This record gives sequence, structure tokens and C-alpha cells, in this order.
Amino acid sequence: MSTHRFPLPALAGLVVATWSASALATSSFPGEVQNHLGLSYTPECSVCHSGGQTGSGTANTPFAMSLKSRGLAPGSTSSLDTALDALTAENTDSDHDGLTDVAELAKGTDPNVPEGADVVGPPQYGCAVSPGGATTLDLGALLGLALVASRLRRRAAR
Amino acid sequence: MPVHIRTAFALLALTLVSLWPSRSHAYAWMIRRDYTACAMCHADPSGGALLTPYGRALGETVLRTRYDGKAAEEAGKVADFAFGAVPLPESLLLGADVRWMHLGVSQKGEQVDSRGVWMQADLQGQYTVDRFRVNGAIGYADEGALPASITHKDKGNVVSRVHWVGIDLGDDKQWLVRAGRMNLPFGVRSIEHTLFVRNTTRTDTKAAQQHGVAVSYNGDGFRAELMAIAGNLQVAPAAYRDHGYSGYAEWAPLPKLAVGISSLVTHADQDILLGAPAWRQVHGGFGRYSPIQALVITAEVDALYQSVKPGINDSGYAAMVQADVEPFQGVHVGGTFEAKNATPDHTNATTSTWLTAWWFFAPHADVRLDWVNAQIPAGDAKITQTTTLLQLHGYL
Repeated sequence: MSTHRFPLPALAGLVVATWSASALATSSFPGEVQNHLGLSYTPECSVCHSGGQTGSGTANTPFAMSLKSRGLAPGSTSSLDTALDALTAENTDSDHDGLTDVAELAKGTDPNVPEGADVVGPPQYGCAVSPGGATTLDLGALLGLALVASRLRRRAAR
Repeated sequence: MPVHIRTAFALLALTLVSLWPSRSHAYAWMIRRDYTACAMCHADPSGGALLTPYGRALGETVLRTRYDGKAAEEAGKVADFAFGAVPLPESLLLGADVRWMHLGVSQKGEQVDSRGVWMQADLQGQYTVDRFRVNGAIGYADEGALPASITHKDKGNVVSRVHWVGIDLGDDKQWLVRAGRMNLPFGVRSIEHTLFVRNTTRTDTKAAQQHGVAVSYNGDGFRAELMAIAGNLQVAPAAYRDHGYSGYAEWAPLPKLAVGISSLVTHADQDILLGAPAWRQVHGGFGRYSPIQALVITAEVDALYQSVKPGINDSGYAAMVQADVEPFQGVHVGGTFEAKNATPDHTNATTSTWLTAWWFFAPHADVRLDWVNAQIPAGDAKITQTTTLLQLHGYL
């Protein structure tokens, strides 16, 4: 067995040296979108966050994905401005309805929902989010397998 | 140390790690030691996460640094679950992972993000009776990972990335038929979930798993898996769920060379990222080669195609080549170059260069440092974004 002493103090120092207490806030983003695009209103959080649920990992609407693929970083208004400029220059249409994202925002419509499309509510996450969903299916499968396993065990024991 | 104290210690650690979200780990560069297949070391036939006893033994004998200068002949109890403090019956596999990361991002010389992130932790298990298996993982996600959530909160969700039942078939159990929530069989099963070939194809192991039925084969020099996708049943309404297939086949003509192909076709009435009804197709190839034991080259190229109603078609690609060098056992340095020109950002290619140092410094533990430089198109200009990642990982 090794008698080598692990460099734990050095590792701990590295962690502490690179630690930062918390994520930078992005609460200024809606106002920055309004200012940068000259909108008459402040966009809802749901333009970027499905169902308006905010927090790390929740900016996953088509519009948000378009911004992130153009360098948007959390907490950086300059990266937001750059990404918005890129969307404008590229005439990006995240929901593929023929109207660009910037035009939709100016018009007050959602750049994530195609014009005239049937409105599907925002995605909801979790087990049994709908009848017959994961809970029923998976529990049924697990119970079925447990039953088969139990019978096999009994048969083996005889 | 008395056995009951060691047991209590192990159970406490197990409880702690089960409180954090998980991500699978799979090391494609094990081909340097002639391990082309995954099923010998992992419960998942296509690799990642829960280890078999053989996989645990390799973790101790060939994966981590040995400080006594000798190759380990036997793994010993330290390789076992909870360092051997909790003996398990042969029919039960248990594992747990915890991974913490510090993330730093800068753009145009300005730091735009700096924070610590609990990336991974979960409790994984598999119970086997004869040819039947029940496999699952459960963990806690402080933020994100919503597609894997089984609770319904904005934050602080319990997640289950995989849960399936399966039956082994064939004389050597070379076939496995599974049903449940599984990692999508596609390309290189890589730990780096942010690689373009993983996130643009939506085949990463972070939260891209889907429910469905899969059949896999692991034989001499050949492995394959095909999955019929029923959708992620942990997301609703049902319009957001993908339906289709995903699969790969890999052939290893030499012990240190493997080449494969992958294919994926899905349809969703409301694609969760495209915001419209869409067909998505990804088809590609991948390969691994170790010309000398110290070096492994891994590469993957995928063609992307999507058709979004009303008849809007886009195409693109994602590609990567990765070099892993292991100058001393357990110490890895390497680099990755990747590129994507993926829809909807199809005007210019995004490129990214990774430099990596990785040390498996102790039993069940490793530390990894990545420096990633990305060139992101933004209109006519390109943004330079630099990301620094420091990860600490431990498993039971």
C-alpha cells in the first residue's frame, strides 16, 4: 500500500483560491433588452425562461438558446448586447414563423411561439406531470419485474 | 477503526452524496489498455456511471496513480463500494458520485461568471436476479437538470436520470433488452457533456436521457445498441416529447482501434428548443485509436439536419478530435479541438479548444482542470470566450 502523502493542503488552497461565493445575477437582463432594442415595455422573464421559472439552467427557450449560441453569458450585459446585435444582424427567427425575433419583440409577440400556431403551454417537469406519465409506467414495470424476480427466486429455492 | 464506525462513516457519506445531482462518467480512452467495450466495467452496456466489480477493480489497479512504483496485482477491498466498509451481495451493485466544480468565464477580457457548482452526485444501484435487472439512480439538483426532475419545483429538485428494467439474453448474456429511462446510445459516451458533439445532438449524459426500449449487443470486437424513443416522460405536455430512434454500432478490428457509426431520428410536435413541430436527424461516425499506450486519439463527426414546420430545413455539423496523453499512471494531459455549425446558428462555425489536466490521485477520487477557449460568431464579428473549470470528483 502506498505511503505517499496526498497533497490535500495544496488542493484545498487551489479550491479556495478559485472559489467565488455566488453566481452573478441576471435580473437586469429584461431591462437591458428593453433599453438595447428600444422597446416600449419590459419583456417577461418567460421570453428566456420556460414558464417564467428563473435560475441557473432554466434559460432554455428557443430565443434564449439563440442568445446563448451567440455568446450570452450569465450576468454580463455586454454579452447580452453583443448577442442582441448579432440576432439583429442575422435576422434570427428562433420560432421559424417568418418574423424575426427582434421584430416580434418590437411588435410585442413572443419570439418563441410561431404566429398562428396552436399554443402549447410551457414545458412542465417532474414525475407524473401528466396522467399515464412516468410514475404509472415505471412503477408498473418495476412491480412487474419484482413479481417475476420473486417467482424465479421461489422456483430456485425449491 | 471499529467496523461499526466505518460502516456509519460509509452510510453518512452515502447519504451526503445522494443529496446531489448526478452525471455519468465514462472513459473512452480505456482503449489504451485494450478495453474497447463498456459492459465489462459498467452496468450500462454503452458505458457510464454504475460500475461492475471488474470496473471497480480496474479503477484501483490501472486508473489511479500508484505511488509505490509497482503495478497493483489485486485491487483489494478499497476498490469495493464504500471502500469495502459495506459488503454487498453479488446480486447488488451500488455506487455514488459527487462532483464539485468551480466555473470561471471571461469574454473580451471581462470576467462574466465565477461560481462554484455542485455538478454531480447521486446514488446508483442495480439488483440482479438470474437474467433480470432493475437499475436506477436518484439524486438532488440544487439548480437546473429540470428534464431529469421527478419533483416539480423551480429549484431543489429530486432527479432520476436513469431507471430501467432489463433482461440479459444469449449464452454469454451478450444481449440486453431494457425498458425505462436511459442514456441515448449515440457516438462517444463522453463525460464532457458540453462538447458540441454531445449538446448539439442532445445525447449528453447530464439530462438528455429519454424513456424507451433498447436492445444492446456486446460481443468480441463489436458492440451496438438501438433504442426506440418514447420521449422524456418527465416533461409535459406530451407535445414536447421526442419520438424516434437512436443507435450506434462500433467495431474494433484491433485491440487498440475502434470505429463506429451513429444515427438518430426524432420528431416532436413541439420541439422544446426549436419552439415548433420538428424532425431532427443526426448521423455520424466516431473512432478511437491508441498508437502507443500513452496516447489515445478520439474523434467524432456528426451531420445535423432538422426540418421545422412549415417546411423550413436546416443542416449543419458538429465535430471533435481529442488527444489524451497519460505519461504516468493516473495522470492525464490532453487537448480537444471541436467545431460546430449547427442550426439555428448556421452563419459561421463556432470553434473551441480545450486544454486538460486530470489526475486520479487517490482511490475513488480525481481532480481535473480545463481551460477552454471558444470563438463564437456574433454577426460579422467573433467573440472570444474563455472558460476555466476546476472539478473535484469522488465516488463510493
